[in-house]
Amino acid sequence: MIDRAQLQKLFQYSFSLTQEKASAEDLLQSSLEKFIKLDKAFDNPTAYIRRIIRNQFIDDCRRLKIISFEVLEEGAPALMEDRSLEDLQIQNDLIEYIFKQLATAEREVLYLWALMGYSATEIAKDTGQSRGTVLSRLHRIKQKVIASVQADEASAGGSAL
Amino acid sequence: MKQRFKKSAKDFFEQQQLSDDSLNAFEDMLVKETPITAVETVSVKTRTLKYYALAASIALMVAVGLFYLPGANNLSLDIANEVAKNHIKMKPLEVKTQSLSELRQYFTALDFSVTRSDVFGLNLNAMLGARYCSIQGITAAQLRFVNEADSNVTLYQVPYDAEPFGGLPIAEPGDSPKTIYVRGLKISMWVEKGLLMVTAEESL
Repeated sequence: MIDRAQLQKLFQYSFSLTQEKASAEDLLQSSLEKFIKLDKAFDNPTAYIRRIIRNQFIDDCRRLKIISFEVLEEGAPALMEDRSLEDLQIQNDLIEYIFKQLATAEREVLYLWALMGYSATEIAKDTGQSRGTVLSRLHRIKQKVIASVQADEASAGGSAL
Repeated sequence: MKQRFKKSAKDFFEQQQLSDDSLNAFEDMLVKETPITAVETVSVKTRTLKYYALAASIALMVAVGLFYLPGANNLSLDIANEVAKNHIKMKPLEVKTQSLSELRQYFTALDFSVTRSDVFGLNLNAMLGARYCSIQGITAAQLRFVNEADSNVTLYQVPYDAEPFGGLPIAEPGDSPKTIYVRGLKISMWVEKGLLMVTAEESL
């Protein structure tokens, strides 16, 4: 049985992909309908539903001809380890702006890393990607966080003049 | 005020909440439709009746399965029906090519690499192209071929997972594909190179 807290987390996962609450709710609904149709008991139903959500989202993007998960180029820079992101500090009100700067796959990784507390290895296993790809995505998140913080500080400095 | 990025991101996700009405609606949907095995809060009497109903349903399905489809389980039948529907619809190809490398370049949203099958009888010269599809809710590739009789043959590839797809013959040790006839089509399925492969063609 899926409880309310798990439903909220699945909704937050959908939101990480769609960036928009109404679309996230639609995505969750259609994915739960697919899950129910399977009519089976699972050891870890929420992980399985996340997979359905991901595939449904890709299908929806394809139908609407939106690029959902961009391909990383070979040899893209990667974090040496996921912990190096944890040391970053940001202003409280900057997170929404940073979230909007991230690509779909980066938002998905951010959800699994920040909310679910997964390591790069666990994210790789959950999303069916290599650990190197996950570390590359974490590296891009870090670069975007640093760029956003620098832009924010420059803007604050400029307005003070 | 500054705080750690991870905490800030966690808080941001947690602020995105379903309304109580939406939560109630999803809960109702799950309670009404969840398989009997997952429902715990039923009375003993109701539970007993449900067990009888479940046992009767299973007996009926087994009887039907044994009579009409020797060896086929429900999962295989579900897959066969879904593939047959996809085959009959013949939605437009999204990429037209006879090259495996071009196919791989096109299918960027797949979690696997489209591969050549040693079991499938047609070669790449007979391929028309491909498109995305899904099997049991999992994103898959549909490759379309034309055979010597000028009929379309579709080959589906999707990562194999025993949970949604059930146990199926494995090509590497030499198992023969499982064949099911549905909607006038011959559906064959097997596991090869870690992928579930399913073909659909007109039955002669």
